[in-house]
Amino acid sequence: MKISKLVVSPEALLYPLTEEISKNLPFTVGDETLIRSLLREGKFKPEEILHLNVSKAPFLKACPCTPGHVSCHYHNLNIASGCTLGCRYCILQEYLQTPWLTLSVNWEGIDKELKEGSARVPFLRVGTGELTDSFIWEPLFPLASKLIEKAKVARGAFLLELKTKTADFSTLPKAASNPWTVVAVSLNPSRVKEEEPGSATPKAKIAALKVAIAKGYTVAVHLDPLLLIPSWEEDYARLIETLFLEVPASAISWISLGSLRFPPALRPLIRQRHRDSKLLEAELIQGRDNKYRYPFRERVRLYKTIREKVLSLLKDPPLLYLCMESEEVWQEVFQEAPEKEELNERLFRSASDSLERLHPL
Amino acid sequence: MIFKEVSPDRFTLLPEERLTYPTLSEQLMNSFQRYGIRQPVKALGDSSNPHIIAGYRRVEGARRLNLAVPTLFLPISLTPRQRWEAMLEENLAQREVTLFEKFNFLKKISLWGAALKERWLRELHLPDEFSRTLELSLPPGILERMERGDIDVKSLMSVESLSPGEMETLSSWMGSLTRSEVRELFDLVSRYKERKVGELASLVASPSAQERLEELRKLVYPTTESLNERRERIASALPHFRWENQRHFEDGRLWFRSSFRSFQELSQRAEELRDFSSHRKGNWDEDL
Repeated sequence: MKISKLVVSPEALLYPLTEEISKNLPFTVGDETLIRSLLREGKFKPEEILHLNVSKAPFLKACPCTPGHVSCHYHNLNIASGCTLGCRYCILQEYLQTPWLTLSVNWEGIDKELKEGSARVPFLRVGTGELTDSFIWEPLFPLASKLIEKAKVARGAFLLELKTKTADFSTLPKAASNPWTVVAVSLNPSRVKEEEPGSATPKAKIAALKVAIAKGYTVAVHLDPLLLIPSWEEDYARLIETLFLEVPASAISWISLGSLRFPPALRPLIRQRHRDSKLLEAELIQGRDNKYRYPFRERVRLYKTIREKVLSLLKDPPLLYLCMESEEVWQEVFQEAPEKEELNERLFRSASDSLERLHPL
Repeated sequence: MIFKEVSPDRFTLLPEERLTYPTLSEQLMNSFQRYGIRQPVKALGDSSNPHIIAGYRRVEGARRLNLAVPTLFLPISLTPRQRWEAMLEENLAQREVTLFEKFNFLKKISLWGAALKERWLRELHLPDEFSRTLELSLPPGILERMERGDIDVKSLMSVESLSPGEMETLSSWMGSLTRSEVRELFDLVSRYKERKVGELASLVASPSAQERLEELRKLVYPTTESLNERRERIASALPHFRWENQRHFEDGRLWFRSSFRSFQELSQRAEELRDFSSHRKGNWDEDL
């Protein structure tokens, strides 16, 4: 992350986080209007601008999943938004009204929100990856360490998941005791590198997972979005083989599977911004939620193939689940469609068991 | 404001001076013939050299029927830019302006700079990206369908990546297609290009517009279309069963429903299913 312009909202000036970040970066006091005028002048790219603000909305929110689909009851802690990785399928291109990087500095209420959230939701799983990548902020300030500290202090009241497409875990603190944190990477074969230009290579991500395990964390893998490229069967099979060759399956808390999906407004953006992209070359239909997806049978074939590959390699595989999929697809792939609370508990327990093995009391 | 009756020959109807091409319906011409031009046109200048702000259609009708044109002369002078804006505003106040007219207007107004174009894109509730379509050279066939309201903003934007040659091909394909078919054609062509299935020109040999549409559907949505074909096969084998319209077959199954008013009808339905099942040699689980 290279910030060329730091803009601080007037109400964000007197916060410790603002002081910490602006120590090495000159800043301008201003708001969205100023940033929009800077962008219009063409002096900066959106991803070079960081806006420090005060969020008036709660940080902790239930993941909206997609209507009528099987939810995993995940919760998002949206303290930051925007990303520098430039994945071509990323819905943030269309979803965010503010295309620059934004960090909310008013963290004083986060502990209370997490405490209330964990009282309300048993087995609360929290991540920061809905509107940003959890690890792109590290060169600027130790976001991961700060959140891990909160999870550690809460001692299992919630489970933190830090999800990334990067591969540098050098700033990840060594966990002397149970960090109640899962470090997760999103993996795709290197053949689709051009669709996610800022993402680290799968090899580097797998190496990074080993670093995280060595530092005392349990890890997770998101095979998401799975892309139906012509050689997908071979490419994903090789990716899974490499993963299990390098990373012990017992250290992986879960593997999520999700296939390419995006709202209709993203389609013209992909076409215009990324003319050489192959994302739109597969057959795509608009589903019940109006999002573009691969047809039902193609998705089922994709998930079944990957599941079978995992099962063929491991006697005791990590917990597999589907992200944003319908009950019908769940039934076809796993012969079940769990309730969100049940799925959430399974995922939580899988990670906590793994962490407790690493950090016995 | 001065009111005068002006001979229609006094008006010049240069294409580059008008917002729209006057298409006159038979109904409107009959009305002109029966009652004359009742609504005055608005113009600048004087009766020797009037410049129309609103009323090209009426002037064209009057010219064909050799009727005097009631004209209101506005006592103001307008720059060419202001004239375009006044023309559009007059039309917007009276009726729904077509996409073709908005497109024409924006092309003209763009000559006065990007800021003005952007302002009008917002005023006309068009997305900023629409400005790229202004660069397209659209064949007359497409312009005509735009004027008729058969092509909407989304459709036009979906084919912005087509080359002029492909645009001509697309235009020639619209033939007898209905409005909804034209919109589907645009979507299919756009997906066809995105999917890089092949060259558009290779489909020209197909005999009719409808058959070509069918061919495109199969190329762009092969899975969905194969399900569609199976649905039709089953529907013809089971005439008393109604297909439940599942959008894009999202659960991967075909759902049919039937109702009955008596046990006799129920047993007939069961018989139909048995026949169908035995005909398919027990392989119908896959479809139903």
